[in-house]
Amino acid sequence: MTILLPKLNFVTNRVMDRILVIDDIPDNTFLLQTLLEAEGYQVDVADSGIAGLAKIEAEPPDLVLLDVMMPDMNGFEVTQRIRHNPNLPFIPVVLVTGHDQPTAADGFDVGADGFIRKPVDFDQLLTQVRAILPPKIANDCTKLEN
Amino acid sequence: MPYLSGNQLVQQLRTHPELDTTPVVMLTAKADDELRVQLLRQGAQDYLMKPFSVEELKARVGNLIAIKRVRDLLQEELASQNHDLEALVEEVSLRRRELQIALNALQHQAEELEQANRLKDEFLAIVSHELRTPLNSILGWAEALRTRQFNETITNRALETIERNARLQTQLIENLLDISRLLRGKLLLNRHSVDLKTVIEAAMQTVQPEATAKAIHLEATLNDAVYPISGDSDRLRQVVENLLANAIKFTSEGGRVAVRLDQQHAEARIQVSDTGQGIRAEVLPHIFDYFRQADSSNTRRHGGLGLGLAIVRQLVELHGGIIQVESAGEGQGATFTVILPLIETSTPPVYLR
Repeated sequence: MTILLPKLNFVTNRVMDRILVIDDIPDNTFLLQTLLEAEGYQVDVADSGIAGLAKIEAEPPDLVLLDVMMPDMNGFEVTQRIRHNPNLPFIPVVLVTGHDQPTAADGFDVGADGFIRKPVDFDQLLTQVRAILPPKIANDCTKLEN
Repeated sequence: MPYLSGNQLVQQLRTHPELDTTPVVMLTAKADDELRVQLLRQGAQDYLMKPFSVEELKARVGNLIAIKRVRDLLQEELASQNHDLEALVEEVSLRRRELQIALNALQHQAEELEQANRLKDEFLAIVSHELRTPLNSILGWAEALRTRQFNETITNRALETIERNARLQTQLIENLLDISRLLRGKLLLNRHSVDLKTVIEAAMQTVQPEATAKAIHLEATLNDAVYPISGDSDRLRQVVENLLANAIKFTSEGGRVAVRLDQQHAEARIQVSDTGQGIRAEVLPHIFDYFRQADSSNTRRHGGLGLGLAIVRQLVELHGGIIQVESAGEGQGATFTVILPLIETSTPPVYLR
């Protein structure tokens, strides 16, 4: 415990990984936000592709969790716009979809880094998110043990 | 001959088609060998050398007349055959036109079938999407509540979300069952005397929370003096509820939804109008169709199966009424009018008619 404390201080000093959840259905964003916040991520939400892009351009997040089936601008288009914007750094995008039509390949074609089907399996979601954004406390503790 | 030689006469005769069949017999001198041949080539039928015997002339003329008669007869026969052929050609071209029309109709039917099939596929895609959407929240939160600890605020919101989505799904399934019953003609009305004002007030109570959530002003002008109608109060409430919920769904925050009830002659009139997004002119004729929503499945802004208005129309028609819609266009709001026949007190009961 005595060894962990200074490390924990170090962790809180670091900026938490920021995830942007984009989904037009508020029930979905609320669920994902609650779960990811419980895992120690900072979560912001947007209720449309256009609103999401505006947030991404204003302050690029560390990961975008993106619903595919949305009105006006679907998740594929949002992904393409992120990839084609030279002013943005590389931002990992994980697509979330309940629709049968798009396959994982379609998602990867437009430049997505992950693909999750609804209903979202949390373990699967967290595995994908952790692979992209490793939990910092766990990492630091592991380093400590080593 | 003076003025016009025999040879000129033959030439002129043959320029008249109607005289084509008239035989010409030349009377020539013995020395006119060359002229004779020339005239025979130009169209004379026969010749006699002067001096000629009357008997020979008679015989030759007789022959030529006999030939002309046969020729005339053949000509007539040919003309009539020609006429028959023309009629046949006419008939064939008529049949061809008919065939083309039938072909066009068939093509049109094939296109309609294809369209219906596409609508069905789209509808099935929408159904599966719409049924899964509430399930995602229900399953997601059930798992989250089972595997994690949350504070009271989040737990309450989670439970409320599960309940609301379960209700939404129940509603979707009810709508699907209704449509299935309506399409098979298996939906039966439980008829009794119904006071429409009570029905409308009950429907307003149901949708009030949705209106409040969007800060939409829900107002009613209900005439107390409207006579009762014969109908199924649950189904009529469903009609009004659907129209009100629709109006609220397509009206943006702070808008207005109004419902009116009045009576005209032997009919009750319910009118639901809103200040919402309105309906495009090209969509208006299809607004009560099954499996239709103005948006296509990939860009849909609003959830739902697009069955509400189709159910409403069927229910209104089962009550012997009609439903109409008006909208000045996009952004101009919409007005739905339901007209239902009142109970006619002077009409004798069915068994006396």
